[in-house]
Amino acid sequence: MLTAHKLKIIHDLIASSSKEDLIWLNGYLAGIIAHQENKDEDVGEKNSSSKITIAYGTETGNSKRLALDFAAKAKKNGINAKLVSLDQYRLKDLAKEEYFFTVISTQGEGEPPAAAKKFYDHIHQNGFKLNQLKYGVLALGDTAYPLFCKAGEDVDSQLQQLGGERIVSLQRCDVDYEDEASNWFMEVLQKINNKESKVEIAKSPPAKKTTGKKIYTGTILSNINLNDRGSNKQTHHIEIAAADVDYQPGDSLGLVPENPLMIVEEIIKLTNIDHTKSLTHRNEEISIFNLLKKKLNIVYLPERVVKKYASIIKQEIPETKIGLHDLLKIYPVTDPEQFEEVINILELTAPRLYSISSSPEAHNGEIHLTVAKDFFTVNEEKKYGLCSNLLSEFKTDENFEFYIHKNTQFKLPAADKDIIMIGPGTGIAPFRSFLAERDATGATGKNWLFFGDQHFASDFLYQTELQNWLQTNVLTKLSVAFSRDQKEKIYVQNKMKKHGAEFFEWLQSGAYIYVCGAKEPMAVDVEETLLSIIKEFGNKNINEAATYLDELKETGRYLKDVY
Amino acid sequence: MSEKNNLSAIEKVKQASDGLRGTINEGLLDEVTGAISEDDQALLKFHGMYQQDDRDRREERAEKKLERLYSFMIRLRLPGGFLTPEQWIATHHIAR
Repeated sequence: MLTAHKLKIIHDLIASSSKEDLIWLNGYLAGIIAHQENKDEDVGEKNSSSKITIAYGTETGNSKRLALDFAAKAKKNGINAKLVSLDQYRLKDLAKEEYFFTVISTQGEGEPPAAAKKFYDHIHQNGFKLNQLKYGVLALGDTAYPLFCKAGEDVDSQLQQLGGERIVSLQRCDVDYEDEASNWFMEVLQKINNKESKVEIAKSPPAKKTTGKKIYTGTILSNINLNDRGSNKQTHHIEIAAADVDYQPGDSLGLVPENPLMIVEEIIKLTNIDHTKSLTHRNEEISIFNLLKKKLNIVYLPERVVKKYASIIKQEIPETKIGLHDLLKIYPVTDPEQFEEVINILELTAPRLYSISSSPEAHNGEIHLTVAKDFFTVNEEKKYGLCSNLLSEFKTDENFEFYIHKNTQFKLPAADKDIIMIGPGTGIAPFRSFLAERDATGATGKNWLFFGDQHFASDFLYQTELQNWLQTNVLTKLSVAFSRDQKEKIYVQNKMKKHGAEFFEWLQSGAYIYVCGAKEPMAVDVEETLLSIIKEFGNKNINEAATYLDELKETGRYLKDVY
Repeated sequence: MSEKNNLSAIEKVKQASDGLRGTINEGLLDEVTGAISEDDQALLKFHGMYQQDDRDRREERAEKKLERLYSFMIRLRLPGGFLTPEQWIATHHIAR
């Protein structure tokens, strides 16, 4: 490529240089080239690139934290980053975006966080084009769940479908996401600045390897049914001894339920499989027995798994949710080898989360749970929720493993702030934690609890504890609603309305509102009632009330933990 | 007539009770407990009623963090032991 003349100069230089000289020359030339590229760019486009939008969809705060981090790094590299939460993002801006990066987590059955739902639905509409968009997606998830990072994947593929140009590939992150997220940031920043050379990332303190999910072992101290005789419900208060667990009021306990021994044994019998045989499952050697007992979801197979089963045994199976042992009975496998194929299509048991009802300050060395034994009917048969059944059966001194799922949003405010807690049924769990914590730490803020359930005489969870707190004034106000004690149904939202004037006063004095419990219909009804209280007692019209509520959300004064 | 300072506790309660009303009505409206206050319990007896709880259930209820299972008993004065059908039905509704 060089002219003969230049080539001669180079050869002479090389011949007269030591190894160190050559290394130095190499670097020197590289630097010169990089510098020239920069110059070209500067001369070329004055307002290049450097304005990007970072949008995050967060459920428990992790995506938000990463997005903040990313924005800070971008700024350090001279890139102007606009940070926005997906629930506040103005959807029509999308068509005008040039650089758009999303940090989004995946919930439950592969869904986006509630805050990202509006955005997610919008981009699935397909009615528009995003031809000038350059994007990248960082997806957070948990490989313990089958639809790992699905929300992120969907966003990534949809943005492409709409005509966007993917400039960095989708990065899926598991629970231990710090390193992968960091690498993704670097890649994005490099792509934007078009530098081959190292992008300056402020050296974060030497690789603090996040331990990801720390697994604790707990021992059952006591397990009682809080509901009285004659109740339609069975809610267990479980006290667990566990040392040095790192949690705060508002966090949840997560555990992966094991499958019932009887069912596993039945399956082994039906398939004639050698349960001691070891298979490689996700990089570890594990016996078939342990796979079936501890790792795989076998009791309620989702339809997508039933479909795969049908294609393995080459038979038609009607769409239905069914247990593996029933499936094996009705549509048996031909031999153990075929069953091994089946094992490969089974998904991992998803962890279940339970809001913790104890407080680290008040209940040192212990964790308490409030678990409703879940029942439902499938084909006229009464079935129990796998995990809630397991927990309700735990005997004193039994051990089990769990981890803590932190909820960075659902937290107590400063000690002098007032709080209103709305927690019917098991929704009361985190509020017991809040009250116990506020009691133990001497917080001065006022506390108002709304609780509801079916019958006063048999379902008033933690009644005596609440009465004590009323007496000692830790609990300022307790409003209860028992839906089936009279002809007409009375729920927590009816009580909220009844005390509407005072409720609004509390809001005006800066109170924080927390809602915990069933997502539908309870949380929906509660929110509607909130709006109507704001309207009526705040003398506002519908839009003003909605704005007031939005402000509460934005300032972190309206928080939900619903399921 | 006894001197004021010779009154027993219950007499003091009666005196302060506004014709034996006390805070019985308010107490019945308290949704957090099925009981009424101590003083009201004493006044209630003058109305021929009595607050009680299911003693056999006490221990279990306490374990379940539930208060005692309160109920009220009403003493009926039945001259000759007669009750009209209407009175019977009324009593049934009260008991429910």
